[in-house]
Order: sequence, then C-alpha cells, then structure tokens
Amino acid sequence: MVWVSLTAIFIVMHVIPGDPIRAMLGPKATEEMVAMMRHQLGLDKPLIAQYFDYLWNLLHGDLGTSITTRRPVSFEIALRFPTTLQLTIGGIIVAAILGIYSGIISALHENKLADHAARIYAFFVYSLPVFWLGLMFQIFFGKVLGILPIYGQLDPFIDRPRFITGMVVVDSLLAADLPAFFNSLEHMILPWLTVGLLLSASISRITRTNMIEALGEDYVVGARAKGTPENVVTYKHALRNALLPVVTLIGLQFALMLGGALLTEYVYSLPGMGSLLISAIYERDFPMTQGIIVIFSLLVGLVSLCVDITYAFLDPRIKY
Amino acid sequence: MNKLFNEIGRKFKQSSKSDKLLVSAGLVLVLGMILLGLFASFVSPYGPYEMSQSRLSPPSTEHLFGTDYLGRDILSRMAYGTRISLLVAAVAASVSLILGASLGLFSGYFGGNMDRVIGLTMDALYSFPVIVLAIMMTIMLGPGVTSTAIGVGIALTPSYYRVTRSFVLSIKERGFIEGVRAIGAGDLHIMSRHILPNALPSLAVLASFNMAEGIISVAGLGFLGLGVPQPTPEWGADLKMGRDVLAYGAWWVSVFPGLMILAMVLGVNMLSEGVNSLFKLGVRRR
Repeated sequence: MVWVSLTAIFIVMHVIPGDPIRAMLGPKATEEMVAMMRHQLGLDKPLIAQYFDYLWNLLHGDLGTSITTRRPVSFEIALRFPTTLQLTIGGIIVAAILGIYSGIISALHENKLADHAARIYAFFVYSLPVFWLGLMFQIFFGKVLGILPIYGQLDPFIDRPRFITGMVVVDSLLAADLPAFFNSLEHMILPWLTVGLLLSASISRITRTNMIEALGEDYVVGARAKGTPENVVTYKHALRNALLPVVTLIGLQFALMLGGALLTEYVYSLPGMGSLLISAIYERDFPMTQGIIVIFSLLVGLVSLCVDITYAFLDPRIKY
Repeated sequence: MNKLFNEIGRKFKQSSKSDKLLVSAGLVLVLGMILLGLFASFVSPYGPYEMSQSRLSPPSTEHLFGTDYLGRDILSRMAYGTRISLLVAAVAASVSLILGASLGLFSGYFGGNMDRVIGLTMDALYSFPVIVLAIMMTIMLGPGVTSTAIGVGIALTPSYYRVTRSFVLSIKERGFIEGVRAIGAGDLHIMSRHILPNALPSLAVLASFNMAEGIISVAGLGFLGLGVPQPTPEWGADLKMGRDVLAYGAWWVSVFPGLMILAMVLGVNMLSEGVNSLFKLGVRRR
C-alpha cells in the first residue's frame, strides 16, 4: 500500500504531462536554466532510472537536498514535524472530547431539542472552511477580546526551550520551564480548537449513531434490569461498544486532519510541515516539496496501521 | 424529464419534516448563490477591479461590506467571486465525475489485472488529503483557474471510482444484464445504457457532496496563494488578503469571503444530504 502511494506520487510528479521545473522557475526562466536545474536534480535521466533512484534513496531515508537551505530535506522535516504532531494530537483530543460528548448527549436525548442542537452543530461545523474558522478565532479571541495570542508558538521575549521532542509544549514541561510552558499552551489553544472543531463534527455524528444502536442492545437492557445505575450503563456498557467505529473514523479522518492542520498552520504561522510545504512551493524547492508529500503519505499509511492495532485493544474479540 | 420531476415531487411530499426543511433551505441557498453569480453586474454597486480612494474602510452605506487595501468594494468582489468559485468547483466536480465514473465502470465491468492496478492507484490517491493532492496538481500545471479546477477534480476522483465500481459489481450479474447480453448487446452498450443510468442517482448525490468539498478546496488553494491568482475575484484568494490585513484590525476583509464560502457549502451540503435521505441512497461522504 505504501509502495503504491509512493509510486503514485512519483507518477504524478514525474510522468504526468506538465513540467514542474518550468512551472516552478516561472515564465522568465531560460532554456539553459531549466536544463541545468533538471540535470542537478537528476530529472534528465530515463524515467525508469529516476524511479529506481527515487525508491532506493527513500529506502535509505534520503529525501534529497533542499535547494533553498542546502540541508537534507529529511533534516528540515524532522525539525518541523513535531510542531505538526503537537497540533494534530491536541486537535484529536479536542475533537474526541467535543465529538464524543455531543454524540452521547445526542443519543441520550434522541429526537429531542438537545439532539437537534447537536446535529445542527455537526452539520454547521462540517460546512465550515477551516482556514476561515481560524481567522475568525483570531479576530474574536485575539482582537476583540484580546485574551489569546494569535500567531506563532511562543512570545518573542521567551526563549525557546532546548530541542528534546521538538514539541514546544512538551519540551518546556520537560525543561521545567513553567513560564514557557504556559505561554506555549496559550499559543496552542486556538489552533487546537480550530483543528479539533473541524474533526468533531463527524465524530459526533458517528458516536450518535453507534450509541443509539448500542443503547438498544440486549446487554444494555440486561444491565438495566439488574439495577446498574444509568451512568454506568451509558459510559461503561454502551459507550465502550460504541467507541470502536469512532476509532476507525479518527484513523480514516487522519488524512482530512492533516489537510486541516496544513491550513491551520498557515493561518496561525506555526512552523510545521504544512507551512514548510507552502514555503517550499513558493521558493520553488522541488526536492523539499516532493519529500514533504512523501512523508504525508507515509504518515497516513502509518496511522491506518495503528488503527488496526488499536482495534485489538478495544475489542478483545479481535485477535491477530 | 416530466416523469422525473413528478417522482421527485412525490418523494418530497412523503418525506419527513426535517428532510423537507433541509432540501428547501439548501435549494434556496444554492439557487440564491447561482442567481447572485449570474446577476453579479446588477447586484454589485462597483466593478470588481474598480479602486476607490477609501482604502480599508469599514462597512458603511457607501460600501456595504467595506473595502480592501486597494479600495475595491468587497460586496462587488464577493458577487463576482461567486462566478469564479462556482465555475471552478463545477468544472472540478465534472472532471472527477467523468474520470471516476468511467474508470470505475471499466474497472468493475472487466475486472482482472486492470481492475487491480486502477484500484490500487485509486486507493493510494484516496489516502491523501484532498488539499495536498490539489496542491500537487497545481505544482505540476502551474497556478491558474484551469489547473485549480483540474487539480481539485483529480483529487476528488477516487470517491466516484469507488461508488461506481461497487455499483457495477453489485449489478453486473443481475438477470437483466444477462438478458441484454443474450440478445447480442456489446460491452459498451451494456455499460452506457444499462449500468450507468442505474448508478446515476448515487453519482449525482456524491457529486453534490463533492461539490461542497470542491468549493472548500478551491478556496483553500486560493487562501494559500496557490489557486486562482489575483486580481481575479475569488473567495479564497480574497480571504488571504483578509489574513494579511488582519493585523490592522480590518476584520471585514476576511469575514465576508468566509461567510460566502460557508453559505455556499452549507447550501450544497443541506441539499445533498436532504436528497440523499429522500431517495434513501445511502451515499456516504468521504
């Protein structure tokens, strides 16, 4: 599967008619410049040779050298990746809390006011463009209320903690640097909310459907019959069984999440992989662009593997 | 055609109250947007490129939605932007529909190795975020209206492929297909006249779901500065301008393009969700 993705990227970037080098260098580039750039990147070799070069280098973790920074692409990505990871993890947590909770409320009050409200919420959020939501948060919390920072990860006068995991929130905590920790948390609230809201809509919908189904099952009736408190029935019996599809969904939506994270990073000027990709495109850095896209696809593949493994933990009936 | 409308009317009358509400609200929003785009020149008080002396002025009676940093009237740009955004999204939806449906048709009908190869490629494409795929395509083709439309279109192709292919698989062993084959119909005839028409309702709903995603992706590309280039009025690109002047407190430059996108996407989503449950098609979005 991963191999197919990698090949698909290769086909799109190398085989499909269209000339990335010319497109990147712009209309003013001379023939010589285009030819030179092609030669530098090895794009003047036969396609098959290019393909095997590409796979061989990937196997060695070599994504090429960035044209703009002259450093290995993998190094640049390693610097930026933790920020994206931090954003995504926080976003998933926010989404899970919002989505699962509103889904449960919806299911417990099926077809009543709370249910309709939660469904309208999900519908509305599903139609929101994530980048606009981010901008609106910036205006409301940053400009109107003035309580939250709207750009970057840390205030300029606070030193960045030493690079341990690369995630500023975690690093400052590990370094026991409390001012930096709270400052970075403050900076992450809006991005997390933005990404989280986006994903919470579909989680809410699927939690609702599955909870309604689970609440009608025999074991729920049985648990109620022997006098189990309603709370325990809801959260221990029904929810546990309803969660399985939710995990799948979070995994499936990971691609959507990455897309959302990419735009969110751009809105909040977070130095993650999304903003790296965009600046790579602006700076016409072909190896960097290709490298980031490869990493994106590897991530999606990795996550779907993780989802399969999580299954076995959540549902003891599944054994590998 | 008349029969189809009667059928839709009948289904509409039988449907639940919330479905009725969904479909009508969605229809009103979408039609309103299309009319706004068609009659942009009547609605907008200024030209979309016309600059005035009042730069970044907040909403007033003179400029209902305010002006941007070049003094262009935002209301007018929004109205004209409807055209571009709808056009690009519609082209993208058609590209993906044609490409996805025909690939799915062939792949499901003939099966074999070709099915496997196309299937794997589509699965690989499916695992990408749409926006990343669209970015890849615009890198290949260079920024512009056409490449944005084609890029988003290709990015949305796998969902049509999947729906069509599974539909073909479920239908191709049925009696009536065997019947027409027995009287000597060719493969192409069977596919185009007997299988495709049956898949059309599902594809239409999927197309409108994807239309919503297409509008968001086109705007997203514009917002990143990789889509329809300035000064063409396009919601996403105008939103990017809004981001750039946010520091000066000019909220109106970013609020209105976003509201336009939201209204459009909401309308399309409501309409398709409503039609989906009206006809019990059970199409799921990506």
